[in-house]
Amino acid sequence: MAEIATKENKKLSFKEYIAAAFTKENIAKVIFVAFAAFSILAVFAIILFLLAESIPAFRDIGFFKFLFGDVWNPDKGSYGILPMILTSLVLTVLSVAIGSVLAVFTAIFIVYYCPKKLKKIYTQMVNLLAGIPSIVYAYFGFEMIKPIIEDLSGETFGYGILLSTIILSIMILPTIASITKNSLESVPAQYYEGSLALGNTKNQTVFKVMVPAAKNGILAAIILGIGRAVGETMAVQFLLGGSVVYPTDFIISISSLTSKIAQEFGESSGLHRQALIAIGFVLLVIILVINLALWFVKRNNAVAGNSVFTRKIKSSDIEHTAPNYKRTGTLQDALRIISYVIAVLVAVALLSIVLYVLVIGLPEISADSLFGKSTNSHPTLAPAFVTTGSIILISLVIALPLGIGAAIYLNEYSKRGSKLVNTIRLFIDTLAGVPSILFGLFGYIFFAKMFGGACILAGSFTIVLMILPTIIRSTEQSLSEVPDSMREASYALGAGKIRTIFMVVLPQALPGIITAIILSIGRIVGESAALIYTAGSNFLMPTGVLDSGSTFAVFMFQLQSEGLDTKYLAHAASAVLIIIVLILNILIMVLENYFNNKAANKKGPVAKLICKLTKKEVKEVTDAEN
Amino acid sequence: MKKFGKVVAIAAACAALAGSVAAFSACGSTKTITIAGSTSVQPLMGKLADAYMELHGDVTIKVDGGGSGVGISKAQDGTVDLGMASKEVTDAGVTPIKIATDGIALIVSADSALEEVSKQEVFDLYANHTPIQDIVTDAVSRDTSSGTREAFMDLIELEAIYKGQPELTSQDAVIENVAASDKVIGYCSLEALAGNTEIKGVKYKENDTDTAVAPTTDNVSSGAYTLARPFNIIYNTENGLSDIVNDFIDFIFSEEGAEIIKANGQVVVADSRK
Repeated sequence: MAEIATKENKKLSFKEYIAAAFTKENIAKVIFVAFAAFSILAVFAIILFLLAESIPAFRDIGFFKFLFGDVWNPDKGSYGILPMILTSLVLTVLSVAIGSVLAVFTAIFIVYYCPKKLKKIYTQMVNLLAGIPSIVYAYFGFEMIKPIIEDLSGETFGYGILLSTIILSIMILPTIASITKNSLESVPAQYYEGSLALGNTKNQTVFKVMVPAAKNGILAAIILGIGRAVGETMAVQFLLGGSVVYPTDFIISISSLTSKIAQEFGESSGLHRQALIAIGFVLLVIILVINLALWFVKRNNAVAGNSVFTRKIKSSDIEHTAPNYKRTGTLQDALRIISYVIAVLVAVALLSIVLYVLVIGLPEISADSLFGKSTNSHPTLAPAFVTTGSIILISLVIALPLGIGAAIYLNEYSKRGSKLVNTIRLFIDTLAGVPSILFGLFGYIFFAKMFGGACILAGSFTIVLMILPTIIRSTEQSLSEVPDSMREASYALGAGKIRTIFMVVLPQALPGIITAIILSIGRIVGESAALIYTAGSNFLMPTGVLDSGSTFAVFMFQLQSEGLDTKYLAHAASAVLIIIVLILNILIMVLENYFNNKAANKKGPVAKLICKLTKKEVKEVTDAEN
Repeated sequence: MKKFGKVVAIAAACAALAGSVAAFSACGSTKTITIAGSTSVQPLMGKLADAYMELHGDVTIKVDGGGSGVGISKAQDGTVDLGMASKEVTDAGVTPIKIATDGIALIVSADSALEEVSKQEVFDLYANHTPIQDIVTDAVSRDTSSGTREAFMDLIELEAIYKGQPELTSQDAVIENVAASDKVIGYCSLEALAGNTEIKGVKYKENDTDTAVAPTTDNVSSGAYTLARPFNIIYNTENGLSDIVNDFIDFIFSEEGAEIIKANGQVVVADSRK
């Protein structure tokens, strides 16, 4: 109403103009814009603070000596990171090569070949694989795969690129598989039907039409996988071995950029610590480049996908399909069999990880190991429950309004394709791609110093930055699925924009928000690299939010690395972690079913709300008339 | 609109709650002693702290790891009451107090045929990857921020370790790797030997002509076993020691503290403050 008034009445005094500008609607809009722009602020803060802390290292060591030196020996003052850069490179290339082949075939299996009954379970299984914390992967690789490599190769130590590649390719598989699955599913059905109508077999259609059509989506998935592989810290830290050498052998103790930070950061000081932060900055630059590449691939998505498809159908396929039917057919039939084999392999990998952890860990779980009094020399998991719980609570309380507000701005206020929105989206995606170790370094430099040391509050603030992109994306997705007719109906009833958003649109988006919350909880529970320097790592019960404490994953990291007689507790902690991840996954599945059923049922909560709103409005209108 | 108001109210309430909890926790921190540093000293310090807390219910002692470097730097900037270092401390601004002497044991797997080594043999293996008596062909080490590693390298007079040798974050990882293969030697705190049947300590001699000495606390105490380093606690010289921290240190040097140190496999030393 206020806006209309300003337009009609041009001779407003300054005071009236200000009053008109500061309506609830406008204030709300400004708040939403601010929330959305928060991601930009966060990314810049991370870049600037890491850079600021790295500059002394670059200056004292020498930029080129640092980047291209090949000796890392902090005791003697030599800080060369070239071997680590190369190791990160080799490790990433190998694991992405293996991981993306596995993932693409897994996605093809899920979309085209999986029996209907199995499809849901199998998809959920891949999600579960994504939810397993990296510290558990590290544990599995160390205890299970390393001895196998040692036996087979005859080498004394199984550490190195081979071991890390095996684990890393399983770890990045779910990321690549789920995005590939989405882009395969979004290829128009006409492509599929058209290809079949032209006389292609199903296998030919899948591998010669559908997969090429989804090419750009798959490329985006692989780039995202590269980002994850470069940034993975805790798993490779346990599996690489820790020596700084050039990657000349698959089984040799070695260090990557991330593993070096995790290995030495906690125990470093002075120039050594600054050099480690500088490694973090180098890593950040690499990640930013990867993110930009991803951005360009995504931008050209639709166009390129179509051109590839059209070219193929016109030039080669039509000519070749009929005469070479048998020859081309056998390759695709073989690919189909490969996708079955890979799907089974992935299932076996997941089951063996879960079973191994449960078999070793469950016997160690007891009332004492879970809830007993935790002391310095006899730790229990009780503080981990409290710490993890409070970090989840505090970070969600901050991140939810921020994330939902940003999503509301992006979906409800922004004009499609506006520069501001594109920029905000780019920064949200960038934030989503920042590896957790860098959040950890930033949280240490910024939050932990702000609060005078690692504490639950500093850890929670760090986590807010990490889970924000998940919440924004998931909320935005479900907001965009709310039909415009509902908004129009609400406006027609005289509701303002804010009221429409909060009373009509947001309740509709509830499933997306709840999914985001559960996903975030999963991330927090499994997070170790971002929390170990920000929330602390001791074994005592935290006494307040300014006190330090360890979450499950950090606890597990500590138990595995400290020289304490607490191996059994690490087993118990990993079992607890897996159980929590399992529960969260089941919860998501149940909720999805619940909301799907509700949506199918006309008398769902949303429909009821609209009824209530309509009644209230009608009542108000009649009241006004009377 | 009401909903929006509610959201704001809830957010405000949460912020207030968080604030009050923060204020509350800040108030209670006067009876807390914070300790951080060497992971070698940490198990001993954890036991001492737990015993002290048993006696003084109103005191909380937090023992964090981090490594000797962290112990020193945190004591320097005053973020902890006490730092822990498993090496000699000569850094500016801090004062060390030696609370115990710890032997560094050279360890091999329990079924290894290796019984004794000389300093030269250890040096050759770690520096040049030369096998020891054709029994042990590989070595494991700690990472560069470990105090044990620094002490070990000083004692063996090593400048650098051969390339491609695992550098492990923890003593546990060293023990696990040594236990898993009879061709591997490693080093760790003497106390880790006690009760572990998978590994054994090797006798050590400085010169080839000496008789090799077994790694036991008695031999460390008498000085016959020369692979030993101090366990230090460090405090900020300028800030000095508060009464409560002083009381805790008194406890470390008391008879009860000595019992704990002995039981943990270290050698008790005299209180240097007196």
